[in-house]
Amino acid sequence: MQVEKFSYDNNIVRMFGNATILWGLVGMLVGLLVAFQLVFPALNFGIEYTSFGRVRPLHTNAVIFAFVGNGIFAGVYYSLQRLLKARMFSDLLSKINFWGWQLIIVSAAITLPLGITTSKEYAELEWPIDIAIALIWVVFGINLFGTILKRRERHLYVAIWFYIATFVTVAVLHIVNSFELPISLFKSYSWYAGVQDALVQWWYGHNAVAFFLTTPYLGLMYYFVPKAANRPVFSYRLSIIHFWALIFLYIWAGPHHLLYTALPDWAQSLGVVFSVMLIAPSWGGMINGLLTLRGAWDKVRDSAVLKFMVVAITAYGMSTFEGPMLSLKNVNAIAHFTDWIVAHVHVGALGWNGFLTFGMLYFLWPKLFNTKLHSMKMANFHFWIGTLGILFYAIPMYWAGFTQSQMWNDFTNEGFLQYPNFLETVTQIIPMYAYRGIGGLLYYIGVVVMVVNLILTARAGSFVKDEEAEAPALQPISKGYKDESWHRWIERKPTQMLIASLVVILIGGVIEMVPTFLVKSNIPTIASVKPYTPLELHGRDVYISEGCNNCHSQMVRPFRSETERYGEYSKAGEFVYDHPFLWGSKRTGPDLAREGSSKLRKPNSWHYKHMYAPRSVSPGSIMPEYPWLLDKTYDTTTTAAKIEAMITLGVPYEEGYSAIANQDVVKQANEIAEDMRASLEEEGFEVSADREIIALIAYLQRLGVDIEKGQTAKK
Amino acid sequence: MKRLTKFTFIALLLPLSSFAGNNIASATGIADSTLLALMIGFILLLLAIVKALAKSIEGISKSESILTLKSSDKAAKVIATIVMLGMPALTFAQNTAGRVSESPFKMSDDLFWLLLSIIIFLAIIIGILFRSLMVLIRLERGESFVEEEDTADVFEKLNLTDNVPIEEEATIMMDHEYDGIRELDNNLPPWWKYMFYATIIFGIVYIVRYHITGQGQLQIAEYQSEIAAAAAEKASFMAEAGETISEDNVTYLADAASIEKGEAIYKGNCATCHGQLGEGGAGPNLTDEYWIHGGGVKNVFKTIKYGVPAKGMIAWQSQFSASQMQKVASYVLTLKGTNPPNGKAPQGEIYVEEEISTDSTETVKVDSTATANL
Repeated sequence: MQVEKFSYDNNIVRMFGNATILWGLVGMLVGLLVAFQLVFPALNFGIEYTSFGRVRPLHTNAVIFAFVGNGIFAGVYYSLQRLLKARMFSDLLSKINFWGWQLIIVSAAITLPLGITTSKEYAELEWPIDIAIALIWVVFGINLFGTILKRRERHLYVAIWFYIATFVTVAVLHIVNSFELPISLFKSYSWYAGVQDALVQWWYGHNAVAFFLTTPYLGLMYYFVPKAANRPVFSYRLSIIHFWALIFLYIWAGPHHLLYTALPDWAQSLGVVFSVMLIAPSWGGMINGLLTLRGAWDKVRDSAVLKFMVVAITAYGMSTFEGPMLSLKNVNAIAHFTDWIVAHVHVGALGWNGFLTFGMLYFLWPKLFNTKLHSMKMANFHFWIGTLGILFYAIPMYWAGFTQSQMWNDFTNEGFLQYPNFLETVTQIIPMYAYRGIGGLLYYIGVVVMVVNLILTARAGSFVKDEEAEAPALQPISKGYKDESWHRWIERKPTQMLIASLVVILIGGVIEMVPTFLVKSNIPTIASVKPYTPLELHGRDVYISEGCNNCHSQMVRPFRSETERYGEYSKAGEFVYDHPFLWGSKRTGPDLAREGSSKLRKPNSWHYKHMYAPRSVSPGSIMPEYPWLLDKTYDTTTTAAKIEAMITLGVPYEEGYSAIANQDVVKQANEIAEDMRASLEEEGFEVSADREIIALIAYLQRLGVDIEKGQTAKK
Repeated sequence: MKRLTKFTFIALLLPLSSFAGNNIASATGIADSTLLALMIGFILLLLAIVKALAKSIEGISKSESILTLKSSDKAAKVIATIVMLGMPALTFAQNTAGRVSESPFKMSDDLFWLLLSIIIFLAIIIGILFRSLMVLIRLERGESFVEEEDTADVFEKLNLTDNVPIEEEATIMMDHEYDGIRELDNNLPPWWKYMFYATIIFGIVYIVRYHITGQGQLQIAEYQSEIAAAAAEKASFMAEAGETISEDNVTYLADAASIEKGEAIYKGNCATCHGQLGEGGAGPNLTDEYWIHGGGVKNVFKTIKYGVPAKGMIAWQSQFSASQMQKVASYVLTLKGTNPPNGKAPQGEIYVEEEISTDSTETVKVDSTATANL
């Protein structure tokens, strides 16, 4: 057999590795900022670009897509070449992949603070960036598949199955969730409305966790753990079962983000049961990771790589058990909208993704630079302070979650809420927010120490740009292998593997989404629910742009504690004109779904002052101040385009309304401005009807009004 | 021990399935109280058996001949631990039984599963105790203790990890390697498999109960029963509490404790519109003599209770009890004449208490802007 000589491209691995480190530092620093903003609102700096609602998406996008994303590419580009005994398909595509991805990150870092956002969590980026993401992802896919096709290894190792599933599913998720109608370069509306938008969004959101934070990292685990431990993988059979079960079941679980909402019951129940069934497939990965270390536990003590990976795998096991438990409706009723969820995701993010990335970097750097790790002591320090940081982060957040949930649900004997003022339930947990910030700081210190350690390691060694390797060429086989199992067969058929994964992941999504879109009874309409006025639409866009949905939900769940506090529970029919939906996923502030209803309605001037200086009317509030809303004007030149877009999306404005919509804008704005002018001017404010604050007030005062009208009419 | 762990695990998991449904008693067709009594009786019976078995084991293992045998020593320890673990269950069961005799109370779903778990747990303990007892008796008789063939088989089947020891792993090493990574072909860990099966069964039962047989309450039904339960609770509380305060009979509370409570509620809920000191803001000034909707405790109480939705004053009756509103109203009345800084200009009319108005002065209508200029 002829042995071929070739080389591995280490340069691209180093580039992605460096990007991982850089964006990790940036993304986590932004995380620290938002964490402390909740303790010290002054850290919003009174500037629009640094206010919580805009910066929080920056943090999540940076750590998910920039830190972990580059981590995925670094690990995949390193392991793929070696597992296939081939250099990457095209160095050019590798470079396009790298620079394209960094460009996307930079554009995210610019647009998000500018308030350019779609509001859909982990998919906030506007449509031009969405297109760029799709293109770059395809470039990655071509490079991945090109390499697979020119491989010198007949069968694909389990890590590569996970890479293939990741590629195909992320592509599907991203494209389907990003269906949006642009009205300008930086503004679009989601194709879907209300309940449907929510379902698509959380099908995406949950599976972003599954196929961006989990499957690629499982693939990395399957490469780096056995390599670092020099032990065989525990069970090939287990890896087959848990791989297919995981990707099949995961896709169904999205609705568990929407339990007790206006989503149809059957879809919620599917979310519950498929989440519970996910425990075993998830733990299959954990078992295969941990038991691979059988007989090598002594190595864990001495290897920074393994230490980090063991904690990472353990954190993975913990959060994949906690996730299904949180999907049980009675647990979810307690945890949803609280900091429990924040704790849960950070055990996954800091523990699983963070620590696995660190372990991988500690593995890669000495290899890439052909030397030894600069300091084992520093790595150990990083390990311990990082672990401590996770604990300091998670425990206070669990505590805060329980506390707040309990306070929300507490009733007096006379049947009234014990804490009717939402603010009380917030100020109670601010100390927990402070501890969380400290936990994050500890974790961050560890990362900085790692960066120094890696830089010194790189300095001490010399970079191996192209690593020489040799392997026999792949021999053609004519008839397949004798007594081959079906899985051995598919392992040498990458295209079939791709198609099979695609089919497996499509099933759940199709079964959940198609009926929700096509069967009318799933979303009963309500006659009194009417489209927003054009001024309210402008206000809604202000709400989206400021990221209000990061802290305020718009979904009253059918619980006594919520209907007492906010009014009637939310109905599916209320959201039919909501492009996009704005249900939110966290209640750092109170729910706003009924903000304009007679039960909760506050004077216009209250909203005005509250936005300008929240603590002047609500002492102790941690809401950022929004003084710029009093100065910035909404853009009436876009009114027509917005109305047209809504008509295209099926919102029943009268034909030709777009041409005259601005008259209504002026009329409604003047009414609001006049209503508060006298009392506000007495206090030295200058009220002008063309400001964003007026539009926002119009929107807030509309919330929950329609359904109430319907009931009055019935009576 | 492994077997015990597994069974215990399953027994502990059982209450989980109570998430899946309701109305066990009605489903089984047995009256609530009968089922409850049956189950508790059964638990007591099992406990008695456990105690008897434990005692006999204790008796045998104390005899000297046995003490030399390490294995049985271990067994005795295990049994002692199990019995100790069982004790809390005993007290629990007794508590439950005690409550039954006091009041005819209904079998709740959670209770059913709890009792069922206890029964299964006790049954497992009895099984293990019995087996240990047999072993001990045989040892006592001087028979050598050899694990029977079939027992060994059962044990093998219940092996929770079912993996090949490291020393023998060459036998299951796959014939391929990737970049030096090799793979073993260990069996799926049985505990993992069973867990997977259990979750699948859970899923099926869940869907059947909620969406096919309709035994489980979906969210709106669940909400309605929550509201009904709360209403009943409230009604019984109110019946005990006696007469309620309304705008017709409310009185001014002058005691410091009430005023203080009123102030706390005011600061937390009212100050956002009426100012920390009552100076006014989005809402009117509460410290002057002018009232838009009438002064005096009755009017203020009424305004708080029903609100003035058109002007942005919320109806607070759904958020505060009558006595809380009485305290806030009383506190608000204490603000009169405090003249805080930045006071909002007066709005409404001068309000004079009725008793005084009969005296001499009449209610005077005043233009608020005019007063502001005074």
